[in-house]
Amino acid sequence: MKVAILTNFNDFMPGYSLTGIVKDQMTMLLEHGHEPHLFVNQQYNNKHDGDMPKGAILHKSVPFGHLVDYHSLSEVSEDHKKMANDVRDMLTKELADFDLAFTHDWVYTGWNLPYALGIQKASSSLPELRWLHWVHSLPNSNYNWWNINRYGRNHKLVSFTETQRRHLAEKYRGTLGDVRVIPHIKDLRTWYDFDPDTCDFIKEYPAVMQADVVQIYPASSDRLDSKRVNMLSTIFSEIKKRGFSVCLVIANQWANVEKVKVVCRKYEKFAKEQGLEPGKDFIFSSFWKPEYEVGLPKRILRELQLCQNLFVYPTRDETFGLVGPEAALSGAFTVWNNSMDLMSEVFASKGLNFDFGSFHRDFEPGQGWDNYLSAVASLIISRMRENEAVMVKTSVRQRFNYDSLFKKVYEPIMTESKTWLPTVKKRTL
Amino acid sequence: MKIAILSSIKEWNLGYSVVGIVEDQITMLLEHGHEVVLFLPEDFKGSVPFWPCSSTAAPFLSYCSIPKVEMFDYQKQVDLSDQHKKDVEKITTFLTKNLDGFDFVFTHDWMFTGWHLPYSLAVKAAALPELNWWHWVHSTPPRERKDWWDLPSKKHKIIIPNQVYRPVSCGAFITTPEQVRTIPHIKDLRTWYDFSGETKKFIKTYPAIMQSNIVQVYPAACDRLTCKQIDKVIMLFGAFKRRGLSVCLVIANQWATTLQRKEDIEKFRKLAHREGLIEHGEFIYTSDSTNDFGTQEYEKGISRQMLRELMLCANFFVFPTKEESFGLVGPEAALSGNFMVLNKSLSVMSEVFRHSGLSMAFGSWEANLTVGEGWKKYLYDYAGCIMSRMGEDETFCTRSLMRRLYNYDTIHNTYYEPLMQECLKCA
Repeated sequence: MKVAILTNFNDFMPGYSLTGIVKDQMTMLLEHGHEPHLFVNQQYNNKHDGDMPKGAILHKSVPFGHLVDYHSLSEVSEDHKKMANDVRDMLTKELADFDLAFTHDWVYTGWNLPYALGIQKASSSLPELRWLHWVHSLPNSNYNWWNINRYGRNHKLVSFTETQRRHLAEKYRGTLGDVRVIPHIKDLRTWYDFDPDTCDFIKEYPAVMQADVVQIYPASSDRLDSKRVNMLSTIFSEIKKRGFSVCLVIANQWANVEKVKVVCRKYEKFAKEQGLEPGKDFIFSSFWKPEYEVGLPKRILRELQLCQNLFVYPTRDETFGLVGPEAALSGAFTVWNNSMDLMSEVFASKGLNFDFGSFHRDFEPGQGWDNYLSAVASLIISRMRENEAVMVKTSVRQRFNYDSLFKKVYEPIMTESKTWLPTVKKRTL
Repeated sequence: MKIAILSSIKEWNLGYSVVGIVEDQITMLLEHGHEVVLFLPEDFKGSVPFWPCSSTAAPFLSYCSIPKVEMFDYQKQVDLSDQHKKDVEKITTFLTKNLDGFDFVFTHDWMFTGWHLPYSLAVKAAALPELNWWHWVHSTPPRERKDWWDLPSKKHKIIIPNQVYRPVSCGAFITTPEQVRTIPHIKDLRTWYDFSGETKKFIKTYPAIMQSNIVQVYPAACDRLTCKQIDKVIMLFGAFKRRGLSVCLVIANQWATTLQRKEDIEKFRKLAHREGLIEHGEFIYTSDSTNDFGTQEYEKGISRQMLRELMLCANFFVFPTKEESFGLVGPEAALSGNFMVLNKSLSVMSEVFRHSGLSMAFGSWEANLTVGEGWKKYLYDYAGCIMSRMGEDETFCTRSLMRRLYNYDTIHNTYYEPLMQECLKCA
């Protein structure tokens, strides 16, 4: 769809929260095959255009005016009435072939009242256009231009939460049907400015962003056995059997020779037998792109680690295990190998500990490995659910990333919006 | 100190863990004012990274090429080839000539692996009796010892990253614990996440961000300090401190540009003082930070990159704000892995955070809260509850510990610098 995002930005500084919100919105629309056009003030300065998502189309056409923070419709000056007509003309001309228009605070603040009036005037000339009006603060006053009925059926207000939906509807003299709930995007990829290759990896393997339990396990391909990759596969399959979605990424190095690739395929086969799906919830990074057969660069690795929420480290043989502190710094729930004495030294006995055996201490569980690892999986889940930091982080990662919000919120509303049109002859969804 | 780092790294590939270890070591040494010369083999390919240093002192890094050696994994000294024997002589001469004037020499795996045997023999033969040598061993010594595993004098020490393998390493190198020392590896947020220069400089000015038990970074526009209930955050941090924790509260404030806003800032600064928080140490306004010219750098606010990097250092986020339509800083803090304490009095919070995190009542625009016993007592008691829950939170404990224990300042001040003094003063 062709989407107009209407702002009166003079600059594009993502440090300013509204700019960040608009930037995330454009990124999401572009990623999902839509065509966002950003409308900014005629006096926009182009200083930070480099921060704009590639592919977004800029229109410096929103009429400029010296704005005033109005408190009533009756205060609107002649100049601003004229400006409202200019806004109407601009919208009528520029948005003729658009499907949707998103506005940000235009129908809300006193400063933006001339733009709100311009929209009201243009609306009847744009019968096919559907409008979503974001209101970025909590409306606590009662201004007389806050009236959704003046805009028409194809206009909806946007609240970020269900909690404030009714409040917004009341303030705008409307009903719940006049308000749609669209939470803000807060995506690890845009908040941490992930490398484009990391974003590609997540696009290829979306479970990294969406799964309930995610681990990134760095391991040299000649040490997969010593790192206990099969043990980890079993634990993850046990977590999956309990109804959780999982994603285990083996960030392996030195898989650039055929012999090693064959070994990796054997690990995949084992994981598949356990119930994991290679390439979906069990991933060798070396099979992603040939250039990364030797290993992922540090940046991609640490960015993927920011997506993980679990790090089980059953390794048999380490002198320090630097990947442990790396995982801990990323905020993952950590599970160490109790059979390896240095782990309690390096990690000061913090985190969860289980015996997995090591080069200096053999361990054979009495009930057999399968039963033991099944119990380990249960205990991990139980402890993770008690863990406030992990639960909040996981919830925010899964719910507010732009893929999730697009599929669950934006896309359904964008599709539904076709039914808002009062004069459409053939309603096709 | 003047320190030489000898390595046989042929390419600066961070996928190879020793490269990352050496890179962190160099960063630490430069940040702490040492002079470093990195020795790389003649056949080293490509380039090494540039080390921007936030220190105002003048430490520097230079490079030197060591004679190259064809690599072979020896099992015994007797197998040494004639070519390698010639290489040993060449390297011995090179080391004797080029290491004169250094205080310390660090080697990486040179005394350990069969691949490095010619280097090991050259180190032992070099006529440098006053030099202090620290030899890192990056693997567990196998049960079968090699016949070159010995040390020529007390000036040589084996360095391993953990205490556990110290006895076995003493046995392997036929030496005493005095000559086998433990220095943990560095794993520092600043280098692991490649923090920007401005963030590193900020942390250098306010080291409590990296070292404290409880760290919060709270973004707030200056006209909303009251609405964000900064007073409650300050009082809670005062309570944590009275309960014995080291604390650091960073208010990432924006638009500290007008007189009115500056007065607002002062009001909360005085409260922090009354609560016992040390200004610029435990209580920090980002707008106070000055640049090299003595003028305020961040009055309008810090950059997004700096904010998210500081948030990665934080481990705690209490969000007592009175009114929000969504509160984007909450998800930002959560994605950084912080322990979250949310405002139960603001109904939007339970929707945005789906009842995850800890909740406590702070009052809000929709639900006033009067605290009978007074806010100070109320927050002191809640500080205890929060500490109890945090102590139970494995992720919080591990993450906080890794930040404090393995950052390069701690490692330098706790391990490197004392051992350097011991080597120099107790020789």
